Amino acid sequence: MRNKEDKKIGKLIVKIACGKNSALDELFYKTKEQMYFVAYRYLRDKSKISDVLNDSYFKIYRASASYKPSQSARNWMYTIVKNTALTYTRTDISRDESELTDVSACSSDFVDDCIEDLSLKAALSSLDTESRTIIVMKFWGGYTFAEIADEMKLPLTTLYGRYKSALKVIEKYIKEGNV
Amino acid sequence: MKDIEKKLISAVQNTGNVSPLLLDNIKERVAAEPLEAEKIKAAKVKRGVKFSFNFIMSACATFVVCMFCFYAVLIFFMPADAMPPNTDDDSSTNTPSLSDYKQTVIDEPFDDYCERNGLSLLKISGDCEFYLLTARGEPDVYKSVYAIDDKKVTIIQSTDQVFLSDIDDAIRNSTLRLYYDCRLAEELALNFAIYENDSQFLSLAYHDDGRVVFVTIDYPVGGDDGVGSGGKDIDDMRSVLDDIRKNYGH
Repeated sequence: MRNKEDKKIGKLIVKIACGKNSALDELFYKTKEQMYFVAYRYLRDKSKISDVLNDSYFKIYRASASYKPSQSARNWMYTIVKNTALTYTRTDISRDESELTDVSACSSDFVDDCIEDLSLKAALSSLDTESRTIIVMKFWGGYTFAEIADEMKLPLTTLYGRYKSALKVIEKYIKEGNV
Repeated sequence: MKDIEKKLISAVQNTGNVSPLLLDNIKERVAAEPLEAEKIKAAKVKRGVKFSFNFIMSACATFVVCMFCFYAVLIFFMPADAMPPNTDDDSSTNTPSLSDYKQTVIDEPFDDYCERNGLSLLKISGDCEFYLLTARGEPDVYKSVYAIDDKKVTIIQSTDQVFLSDIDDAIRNSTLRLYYDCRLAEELALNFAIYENDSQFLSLAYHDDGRVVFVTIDYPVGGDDGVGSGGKDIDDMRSVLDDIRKNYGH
């Protein structure tokens, strides 16, 4: 099921295909954090993310005419970013592909590497791995609950329950003045 | 959305992982290698076609919904007497409705009722068994007599006193008009008689579980042009019986 945000992104891609370059700015600001997470997930190297995103957004621009408005815009962009990131990764033979697809490890690394706000980092680190993964994928990755449940192989209701519990833990952490 | 969720979204937006310079770099590349004019034109055409299709579809859907609502409102607020007449009925006569009937339920045997009201009920045996119901003791009054047998109902009109021989002759007369097919009466399980309570109004009486029900149709019937010239036709009678059936569960 496509949400409103996804449809808005799809419209921006169509506008880009029609020659409206100003739509690229809007698309960039709407999606940059999510694309950053996807790039990080398949790259795990902060130093290369800028290059990956540079290439990815350029590819999105060039391929905008091939985007079909009926498909999920976010998934279409994710695929481009993922493929670009994997192209960069293939040069690094020390990385195991299974390691790259492990989203739990990715989330932990992401909190350590990419979240600069120390208080937020502490709050997220206080969560168990599963809860932290859910929060990071939801907020930084922009995934839907169904996508996260599918990725983590959890029933949707269980996942939603853990999401709520994680939010309570973070809230409590903040109220207690740890943040 | 909870406050904590808003805080997290705000935190995501302020993470600052992506440098603003990145967009400038991308735009530089875009400026260096813009999309081909043909591709842009094709995309515009595709978008235009999709927009037109969506526009037409939504316009059609809106139109259908509006028409439905309009008619629903119209029917809801239209008074009953402002409804258009039923065009299926091409008869020039007025079809009676239930409101046209004056109904009288008599809780006494039919014969007793006839006796008390000066009505004669005659039964004639023979090839054509039928009932004759007419006003008694008024031989000079204009009358219409309806004879009902097991095959047909015959209307016989006369300006003179009705004699049994008249009826015999009438039944044998091939010019008699078939007024009503009694098979319908059988279907309805009605044992009924038709009479005219005066020269203007037609009444129909029928037995219903031992009671006699009179249904009076308040419109003139009959004419002065001789035998079988009832002003109303068989469709009127059929309509009356259909309504009786609906009203009394027959």
